[in-house]
Amino acid sequence: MKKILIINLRRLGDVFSTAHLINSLTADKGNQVSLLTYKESSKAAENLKNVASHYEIDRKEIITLKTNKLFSDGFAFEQLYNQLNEIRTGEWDQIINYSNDVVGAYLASYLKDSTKEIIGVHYNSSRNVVIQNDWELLFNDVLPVVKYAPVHFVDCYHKMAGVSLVKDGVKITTNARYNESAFNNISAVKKASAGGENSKIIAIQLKTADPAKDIPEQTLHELISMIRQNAELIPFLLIAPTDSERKIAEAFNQAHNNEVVVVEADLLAVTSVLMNVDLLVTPDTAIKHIADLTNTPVLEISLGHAPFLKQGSYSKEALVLTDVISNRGFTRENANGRTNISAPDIMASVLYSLTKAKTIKPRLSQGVTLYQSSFDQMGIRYTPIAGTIDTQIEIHRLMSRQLINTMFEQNPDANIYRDVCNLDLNMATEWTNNEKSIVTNVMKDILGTLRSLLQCSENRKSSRDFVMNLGKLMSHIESESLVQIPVSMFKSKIESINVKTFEENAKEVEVLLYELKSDMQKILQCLKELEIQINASKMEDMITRNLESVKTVG
Amino acid sequence: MNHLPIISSYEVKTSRTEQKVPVVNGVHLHSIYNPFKEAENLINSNIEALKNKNEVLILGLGFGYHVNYAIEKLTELHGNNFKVIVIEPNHQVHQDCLELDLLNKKNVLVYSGFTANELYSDLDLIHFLLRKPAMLAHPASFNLYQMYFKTFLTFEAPTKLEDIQKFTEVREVKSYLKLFEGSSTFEEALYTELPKKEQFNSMDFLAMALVEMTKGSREKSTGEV
Repeated sequence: MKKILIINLRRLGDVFSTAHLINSLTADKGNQVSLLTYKESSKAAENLKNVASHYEIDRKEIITLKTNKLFSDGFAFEQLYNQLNEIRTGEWDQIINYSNDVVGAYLASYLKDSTKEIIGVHYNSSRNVVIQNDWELLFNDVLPVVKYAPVHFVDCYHKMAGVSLVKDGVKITTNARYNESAFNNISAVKKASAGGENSKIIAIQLKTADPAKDIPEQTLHELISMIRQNAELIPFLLIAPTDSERKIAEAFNQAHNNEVVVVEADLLAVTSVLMNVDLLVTPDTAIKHIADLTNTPVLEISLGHAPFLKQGSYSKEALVLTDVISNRGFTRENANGRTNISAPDIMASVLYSLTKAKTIKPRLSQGVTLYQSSFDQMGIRYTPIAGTIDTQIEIHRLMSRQLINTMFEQNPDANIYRDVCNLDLNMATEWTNNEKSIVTNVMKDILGTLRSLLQCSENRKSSRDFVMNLGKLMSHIESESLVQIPVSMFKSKIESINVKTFEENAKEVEVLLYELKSDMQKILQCLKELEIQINASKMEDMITRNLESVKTVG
Repeated sequence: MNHLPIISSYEVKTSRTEQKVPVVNGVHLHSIYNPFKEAENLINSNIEALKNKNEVLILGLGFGYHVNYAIEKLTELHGNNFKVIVIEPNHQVHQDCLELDLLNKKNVLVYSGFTANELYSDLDLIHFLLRKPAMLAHPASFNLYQMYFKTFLTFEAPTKLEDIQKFTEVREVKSYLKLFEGSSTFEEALYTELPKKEQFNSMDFLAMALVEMTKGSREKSTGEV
């Protein structure tokens, strides 16, 4: 039995997504998991199942105490101390910093004497970042650097905590009265509709907290009209119980003769609603994360900087509609302001989601991709199933995942090689050749750095060469290839070396250089395995073609 | 000015409607004709604020006729779920008000005879102010003790580290702050001295969490509740 504290100082949606880890941790019945959040995210924390205690920091109050000249600054500090006092005086087996932000890291470091172990970023007494395992390094230093994340955050947290993903289990609290009322009301709407009880309810989230992530209003109008033209579908507009959203929904509904059902629900009530709808169409919102916890089918419309590869819908067969990945930027600064996603694209994806056979893939506008999620040995994986596919990027994403399987778990996933080959054999060959040449260059730079390090030990005047070679080696972090992963990790490890004697530091660098060299060999090993699969697939293709031509001649 | 107003004269008169009226420095704190009517007018003219907030800060107690009417209205609007805090500089007026049993004490807390410095040392009052209550000034008291209330409303808490230490009640926080004796202010300790350290203890990390948490809000400081 372990007493575990999870620190999550992020927003509502992120707090909801913590439920996956809590569920996995508490699947071992003895484990007791508590949660620390900011007060503004408490509504999410309070709705999560299996949370032994919920602690909160009233950040707004602390900020007011600290910044308002009326109050002594000391109160802010004292309040923070008081709000954490119960945690500090507790005895924890594990504290998990789920925030991955600086405040979370400082708080985890503050609480280090209250726990046997800290998972996630925190500091030692010299204020150097403490890294427990490669997954932490991947999470903190690689995922922020790579353009297309190969691993979902939820999976990364599981790996960091060394816990296996448990998909089954009740993860969110519901209210029996709300459940009954949602069921009765939605059944009544279905019965009264042209399609009767077999109608499907399509819930659509009208607004997000970030306008950059909103589905454009015109697209929504068109989508609602298209859904209404289908007698078997009923659109619901989901809104938060606020005056501003009420007004927006009212104005929106006027264009549809006020005939669209508008569902106004808070975070607890919306859970009951989601349990009774057939599909949720939503941009990146907290509602999306709740739908994941209620096993509601989701069609996520990923817009703006919404990082679906890291924080997309986390459920089996969830659909994600996005502009082709090469046109996406996943930071506020790089996000593409306009989208090619049209109402017919969303409608086609809705219909695809509702069909059981899923044999006919939807046709989408140029520059739009539909991804579907599935689970493999690492966790959730998004596979492009329709629309415009940037094959090179998809090969790269898959192989990055494979490299992580190989480097961290020593357990490559044979399906990945097959899936890469299914994308495009010629492109896979081209990509492999390109990667090999990059690895060769990195290998040369590793050897150059090692050589200059040895020379340095003999003659300190050579240290300039060493520094130059090391800089050149680290510059591969910019390379959008597989080497980016091990080089980023190498760079972080180098940066966290404590200053000791020259000999001691040189020894540590040498060890890290050999480690990097070993990682390069692992890349080559992955590339070699892929080449074998490519050749086998080519051979298979050739035999199939020959057989077909024989049949034709016959 | 961080002290109490000087009271040169104080007497209690009776209004035409037979209510007691305190007269301080020659100023009648309630209507000498009809204090009830006056109180009703004051509260009714602020009724919207009372509808929107169930917590009210009243500046000036006098003999509390306006406070009693505010309580009556708050009870109508919010049931028992309300709180009133009254700030009154003149402790004698408060004492007499209690002795004459004039004040309805339902959900009311009166701070009388405290300087602004003392008031802003009280955590309960601070928490109340942080919840942004409705504010209501009793005109006669507010005019009489103008400087006192102005000081209260535009107060600037001391920033010197030694003063901050006096404010803190938690032993661990107090002794941690003592370690920065070289710094003149808490800001200097947090933003200048702390990052220079080579070895960090757990309280240092808590202080850095505070810095990080309040970053960005630092420039937006105002002196308003």
